[in-house]
Amino acid sequence: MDIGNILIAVFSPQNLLLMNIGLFIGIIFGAIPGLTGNLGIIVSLPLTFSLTPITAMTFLLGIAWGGGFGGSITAILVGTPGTAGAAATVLDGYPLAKKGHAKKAIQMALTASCIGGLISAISLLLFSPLIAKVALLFGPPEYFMLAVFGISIIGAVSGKSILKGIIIGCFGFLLGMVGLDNITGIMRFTFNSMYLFNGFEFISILLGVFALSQVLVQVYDYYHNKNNSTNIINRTLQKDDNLSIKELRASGKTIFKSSLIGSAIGAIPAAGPVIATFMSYNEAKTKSKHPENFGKGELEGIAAPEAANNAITGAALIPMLTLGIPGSGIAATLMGALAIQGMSPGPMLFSEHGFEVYVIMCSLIFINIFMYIQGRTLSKYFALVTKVPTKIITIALMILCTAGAFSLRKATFDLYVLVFAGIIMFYLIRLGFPSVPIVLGLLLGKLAEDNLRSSLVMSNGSWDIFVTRPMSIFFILLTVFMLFGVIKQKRNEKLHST
Amino acid sequence: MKIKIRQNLIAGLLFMIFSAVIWVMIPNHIAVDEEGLNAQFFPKIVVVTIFILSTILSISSFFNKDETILILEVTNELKIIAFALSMVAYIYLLNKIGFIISSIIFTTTSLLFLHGKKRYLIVMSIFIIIIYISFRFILDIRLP
Repeated sequence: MDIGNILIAVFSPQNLLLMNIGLFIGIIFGAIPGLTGNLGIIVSLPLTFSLTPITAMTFLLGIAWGGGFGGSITAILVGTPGTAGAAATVLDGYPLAKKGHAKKAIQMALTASCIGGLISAISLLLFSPLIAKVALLFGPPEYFMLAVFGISIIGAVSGKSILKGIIIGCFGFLLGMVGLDNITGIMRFTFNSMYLFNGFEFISILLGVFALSQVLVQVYDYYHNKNNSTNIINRTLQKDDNLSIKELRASGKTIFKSSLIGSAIGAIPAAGPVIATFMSYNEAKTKSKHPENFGKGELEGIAAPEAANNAITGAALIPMLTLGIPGSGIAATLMGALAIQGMSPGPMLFSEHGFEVYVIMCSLIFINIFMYIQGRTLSKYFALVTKVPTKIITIALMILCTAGAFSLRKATFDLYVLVFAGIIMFYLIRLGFPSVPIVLGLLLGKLAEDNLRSSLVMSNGSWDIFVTRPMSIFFILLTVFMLFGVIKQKRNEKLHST
Repeated sequence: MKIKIRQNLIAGLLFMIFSAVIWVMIPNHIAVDEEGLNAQFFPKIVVVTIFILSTILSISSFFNKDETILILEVTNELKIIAFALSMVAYIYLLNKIGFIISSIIFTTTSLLFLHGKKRYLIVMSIFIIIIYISFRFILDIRLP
């Protein structure tokens, strides 16, 4: 691989411009209470259809990274974590902002996020090619067990009920089965509609499930008076309240350690941001000379979760790019975006699209640097974003989704799919169903089905093929280990909540 | 008027009915010649899994002390349904009268639903036009 060509592609004006636009959009989406970086990616997906895979992915990764930092702005200024990853940031960020040091808190979050992101980007660059090389040896049985392993992640992203997570994941499988069967060429559930021959348009389902359902949730909240932002503080950042070098140096060790914790945990599919951020926070608190200050506005208490939170986002791309296993909601969306660009994540990605993947991974390093620049210069404007009325966001989201869902095939059919997916998901959310497993089911169902059937054809119908190949056995053990881990994690969460 | 429902019971029943309907539909909507590993194989496994798990979910509702009881206020529920219908109407109108006008009508209706300020309509109208122009001239996508 020619490093010179990779750097030329990374530094192309279009790439640099789009990663900065992506960061800008991401920070805004993250900073608006109720919106997330993942939602920003989903809504912006249609904008990438006319872009090259490299610029499209750097644009979307910019949104993902920006969303992470934007979430910390909300956590610090509003005291409500927009995402699970920002929950630990609230503990010290909000008290510090209440003391009048909102700017210092945001700058610490920004610096820690950038360093965490940089370390995870480097780990992605170092480890992904190695894992991809091993994964090239996989056959259909290994792919099937890998898909089963991916599906077991559903348990971890299921919120309170694993049972509901699996049911909704299966619902996602069924949605993925609509259209042409890859093995036999038979049509399934197409109702003779040509729009369904290739299945549901992924973007319509994605926008409906994640964005449109939120529109209805906002309307529902409005009628049930849950949308009172009573804990809003003064969001104007003071001019001379800058983070000093001394303060940064004092948190340096914590930032570095938290970045490593985040990178290690993030690489484990479904380990989730909550574990890594709180683990880093606890580690910083235990090792601190002033643990009594934690929870009262301690800068290290902001640095630790923020470094870990951004490190996770980068590390979560390792299993997604190399194995095709999305370990988080953002990774699942990015995996869909790659597929739309004609790049199927998984072991073959590095051999078929090696150049593009390396450019994207190298771009991540610069995304973190540009995020720092944007954060330092535009923070006071991003802080104002938290004031945008929810009613405007709600309606704007609906209009954006409509334009986005229409743009791929220019078919009104896709718009009806969008609206009905949103309405159905809204009622499912109210019945306690999580939304991420639907996308996991959609992405992994087909992979599981095709490889299960190919494996059984290979073995003349014998299921022994899955327990006689070493890598397949390895994935079975990994799945069992993962399931035990998830059950243990859920029990601990239940114990903590009681 | 308020209606109380058991969250897990309703969720389970809903998916039991759904999986039963899909099971009945499979032979008519997936035509197969051979037995065994055909195109119906995986959908059947998934449907049976959904049915079994949703049955467990429904039954667990009676033994689970933490079962969530949803309280539905009929008036509010009707408002949500009306808003959802306005979304469907928006899509229907989109092809008839175009993106800009239908979006402005949808915005006006939504602001009435959400008791939004009049100036929001001006802000949203500008937003709609920006979206239309961006899609048309930057992304080369002609919205209806």
